[in-house]
Amino acid sequence: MSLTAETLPGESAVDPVRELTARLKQKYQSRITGELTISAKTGVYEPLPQDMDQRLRSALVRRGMPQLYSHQAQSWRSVRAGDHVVVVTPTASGKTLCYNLPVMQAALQDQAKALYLFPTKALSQDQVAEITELNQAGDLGLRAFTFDGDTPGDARKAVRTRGDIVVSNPDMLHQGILPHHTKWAQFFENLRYVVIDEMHSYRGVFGSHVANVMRRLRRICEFYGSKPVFILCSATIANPRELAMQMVGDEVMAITQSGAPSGEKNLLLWNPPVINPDLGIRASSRSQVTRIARYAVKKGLKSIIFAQSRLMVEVLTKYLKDVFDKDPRKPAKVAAYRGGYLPTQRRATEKQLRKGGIHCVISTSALELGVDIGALDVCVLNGYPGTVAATWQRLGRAGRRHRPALGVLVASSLPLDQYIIRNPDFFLGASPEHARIDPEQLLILLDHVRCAAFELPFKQNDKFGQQNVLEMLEYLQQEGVLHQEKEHWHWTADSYPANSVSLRSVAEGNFVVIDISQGGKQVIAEVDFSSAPETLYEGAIYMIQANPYQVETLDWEGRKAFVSRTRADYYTDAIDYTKLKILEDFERHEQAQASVSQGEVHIVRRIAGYKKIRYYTHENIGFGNINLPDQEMHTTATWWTLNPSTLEENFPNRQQALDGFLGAAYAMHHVAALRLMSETRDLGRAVGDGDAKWFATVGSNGRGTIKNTEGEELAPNAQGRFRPSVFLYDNYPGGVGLSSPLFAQREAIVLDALAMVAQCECAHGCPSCIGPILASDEVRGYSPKSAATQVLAFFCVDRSAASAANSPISLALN
Amino acid sequence: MKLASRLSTLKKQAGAVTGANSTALKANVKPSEPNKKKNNWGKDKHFAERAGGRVIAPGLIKIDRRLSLTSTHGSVVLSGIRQRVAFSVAHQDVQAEDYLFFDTETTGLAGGTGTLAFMVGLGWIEGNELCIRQYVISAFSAEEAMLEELQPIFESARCLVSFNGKSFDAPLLTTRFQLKGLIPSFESKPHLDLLHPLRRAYRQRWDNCRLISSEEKLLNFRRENDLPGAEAPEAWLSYLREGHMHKLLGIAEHNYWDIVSLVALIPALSQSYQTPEIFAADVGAIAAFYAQNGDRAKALAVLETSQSELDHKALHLLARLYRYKKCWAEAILIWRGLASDGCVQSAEHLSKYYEHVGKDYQQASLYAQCLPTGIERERRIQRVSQAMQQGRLAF
Repeated sequence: MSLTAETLPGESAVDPVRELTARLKQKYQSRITGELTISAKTGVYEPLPQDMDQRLRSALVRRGMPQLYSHQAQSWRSVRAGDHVVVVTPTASGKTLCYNLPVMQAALQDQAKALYLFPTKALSQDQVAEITELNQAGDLGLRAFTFDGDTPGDARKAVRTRGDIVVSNPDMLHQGILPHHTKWAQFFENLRYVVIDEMHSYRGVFGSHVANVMRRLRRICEFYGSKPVFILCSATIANPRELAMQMVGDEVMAITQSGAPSGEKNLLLWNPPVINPDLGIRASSRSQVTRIARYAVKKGLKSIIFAQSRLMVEVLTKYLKDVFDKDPRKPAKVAAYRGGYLPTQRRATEKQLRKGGIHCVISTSALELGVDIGALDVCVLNGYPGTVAATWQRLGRAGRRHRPALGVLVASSLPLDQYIIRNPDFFLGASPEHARIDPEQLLILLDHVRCAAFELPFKQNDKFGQQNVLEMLEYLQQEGVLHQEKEHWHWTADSYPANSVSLRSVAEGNFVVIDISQGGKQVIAEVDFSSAPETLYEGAIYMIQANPYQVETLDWEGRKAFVSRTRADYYTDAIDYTKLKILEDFERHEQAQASVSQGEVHIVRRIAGYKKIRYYTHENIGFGNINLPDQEMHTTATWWTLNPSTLEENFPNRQQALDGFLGAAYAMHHVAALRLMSETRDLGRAVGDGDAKWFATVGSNGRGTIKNTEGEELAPNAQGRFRPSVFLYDNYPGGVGLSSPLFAQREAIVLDALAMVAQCECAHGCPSCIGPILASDEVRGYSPKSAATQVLAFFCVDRSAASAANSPISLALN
Repeated sequence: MKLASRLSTLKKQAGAVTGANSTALKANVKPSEPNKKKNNWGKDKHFAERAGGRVIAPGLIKIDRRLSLTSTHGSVVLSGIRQRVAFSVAHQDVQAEDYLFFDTETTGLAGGTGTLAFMVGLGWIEGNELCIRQYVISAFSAEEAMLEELQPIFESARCLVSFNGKSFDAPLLTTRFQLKGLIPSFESKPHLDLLHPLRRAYRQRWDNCRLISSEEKLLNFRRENDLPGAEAPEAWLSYLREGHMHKLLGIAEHNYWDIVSLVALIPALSQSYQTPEIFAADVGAIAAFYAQNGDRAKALAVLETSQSELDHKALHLLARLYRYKKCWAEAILIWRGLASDGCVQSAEHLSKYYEHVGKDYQQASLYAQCLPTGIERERRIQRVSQAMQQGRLAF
């Protein structure tokens, strides 16, 4: 955090980053669809505040910080005045001092306590290390401890009673601290500050839970007579103040102007070249990313690559290791970093990165959060991360305070990527997304009312957040877990409710990956429950640091996968099916040729088999079956159904209609994600009858096929009743309120999808509009692209709007 | 749709995803009717009469009973409480009048702030009598009054006695006191938790070390028609909600016997520690207890009474005690026996003995050879052979 150590702008005439940027622009001009240069910014400083404790002051000076950035000073003033604040400034702008300084001051002067919450344990450890450095520099004598699942039992009492700063995570607060608040009485009585860093990661289900945990925290603080000030930090999102206010339940002041200096930033939007114009097939983004990374590493620049999946991390790592780490005697230049690696392995990689030993790191979103890995020069994104906010957060990983940095966003063939890359202004001018939470989601709220009732009895007119929860208390009394006595509601069950509530709403129990090569038994990785079915099936190639392991046996109940080293020249990719059943219509909109509904659905996801794909050529070299339990979910959805008569009259056969529905679903899914400002994975899509009797997928021949619940293929014409629907569902158990906005914007979604398909340059359909089709489709007698357009047009209320959106197609329709 | 039915539908459909319905009580506890709140005074009075106590404040019942110390509990005469405690050095000088026996009945075993003690049993010695007092609450609102009654009693106690109270009852009551803004004094008091000495003596001998097992096996006391403590939460709730007092009376009886057993367990455990061989206790563990507390003579005496039945660990202790006393012949005998069973540690002891005390380097070398290969073994063999040569030179 020194202000002086780095070179000053303009000092070196030929900066290697500028040189690389110029070379890429010159050599690959046709691939670059947009660019942006953010010029270097000088810092805005303020002197250390007058009211700052002398000890803290000298600690800062000794650490090379004789003054503060303006946002740090502003945060100091607001927090000291008792305002809740949310600080939204870029990566590496010295955010942590915004909270560390007022917290340390209060600890030094009044023995006041602070609680820090980070979304992950790794970040907690980083934070304690940072506090310790400042603490030692000033000999402040403050005690900062982590309190999480790893804290040994005999150390816990010391943390509770002696810690000035307790660093924990929302899960631990929820299960380990609040239900035992009397043990923390002294801590809560003196609690002056609550720090919530990485606030933007508390979105969706997790965020809705965390907002309720905060309600419980405030309730407990009130009991002990304290009213802590909240200091929140967030990456750039559209609604930091709104989200912070939902978390704090009170007015929050937003600090959004960074006073930190930053070096010049260059951003290139890169579209891989078209290699098959007929099919609209472009070179893979992977090939472009490795090319750019090779240039960067050869120039001696430190770079980071973000990939969208763990699998892609491993594939990219292998390709780059094949180039740069051929000599096993030399230390590795290329490293992979992702969830699933053991903590010690990740700490070692982080350390190597800080030391500069690694030239290129390939990561999933795991490195998006504030894990300290030092500064890098080049950041390459393999595919659009799905949101504007995440894109900037990742690009922020490259950039030193006083030197230029380069970011390259390489588009994949996914529709969203292609939309972004062809409309560079959309991204470059876009405001980042809203982080949505729904703390009033009934089941989540009910969970936390139960937990809160266990912690302290409810009084008749107590509010929980905004809500008067009387009806819920009565319900819990009916359930037999609460007992009403006059004005009070008391917990009476012999259970510990927080234990059965997971904030992340993923099922309990990670899988461990055990290497049994050479008769050994060594745990080499952990995989969370939700991604286990698609990565750890028997026969799967599971990769760690680009070393392939084959899964020999999977013990589903025991949550263990036994793997052994292999030399396979292929990787595996799971094939999944989604069955969907409508449980209840909430609302329905009848149109001329279609109806649109919103309601509750039951979804069963089955991982049915897998493909073996050869490295480099990416040819499909075989299939395997997977026998795993189905993954179930209840959620809400919006769905579009064509009137049976329209369907029969306008499509010569059901096969053609089916291809149209699948193509329409593909396009609608992608534009809906953009409309809702959420990520594509927040939504799911399905085509089926809504009764779980049959569902449609694109088969291995590239054509739509329908299957029954047993996964057996059915002939579309043999079905008595044929009413396919396109479903877009909220991809979280119980839903987090995404399907209502889907229903509200039903028309816009269909029109956007029409426009996207119409604007696509391909002839019959491609991955950028209606999904991949195979060459043989061209001779099937009809264009799946026009079938999809036809379906979309019937979904519109206003056919003339459809025609306007998409003139070539309107000819086909009339 | 009404919220309650909406929640029920949603929860059913969400199934295992949220786990929201996993904490409902057992089906046989019916939820109370919130609007049929009557004055409970009459009901409580009836309960108090049946239990032999009285209502001292709204919802708070006090039951006082006395028992002569000359009476027996199983085969134990209660006056044994006046003997010195043999199983805890820290409590040897405590007088019988200093004890406060206590045991709670709670709404659950989960711990945390949502668990409540609805019954607290206390016992103390007054003259030639054991006084047993129980507080029972019949409403959440009476808890504070109960805690206020309890506070001075705990405050003036000089030594708490419980069974598993250090881990369960005391922290639970501490939490309850804190929730009501009262200051508890459990942490600073001497606290004799009988579970731990009982476990030390019988862990290897019994299936479990619950209080009820010690009653059967040590006190020769069998409860009749006992309502197990695990049914306590349900018993209280069914009184609270429906006014059924039968089970709650059973719990009061259960709690009463818990207190009496605590009293009787002190002399019984002392006997087990004094003569473990007679009371089928783990002789080795008890001897180790004496040895740790510096009473080698007692440790030796205990072991010698049942030398033929000792396990390896106990035999090692016995040999060590002989070595301290320089009773070499006895120590060697044990070590040899163990070494012939392949015990490396004993071989090492023998090698050291022959080198330093017996000055028999042949034997010392022989036993050194038995050690596992490694630096230690080489060093020892080398040292012994050097000593052997020096010995020859001296001749």
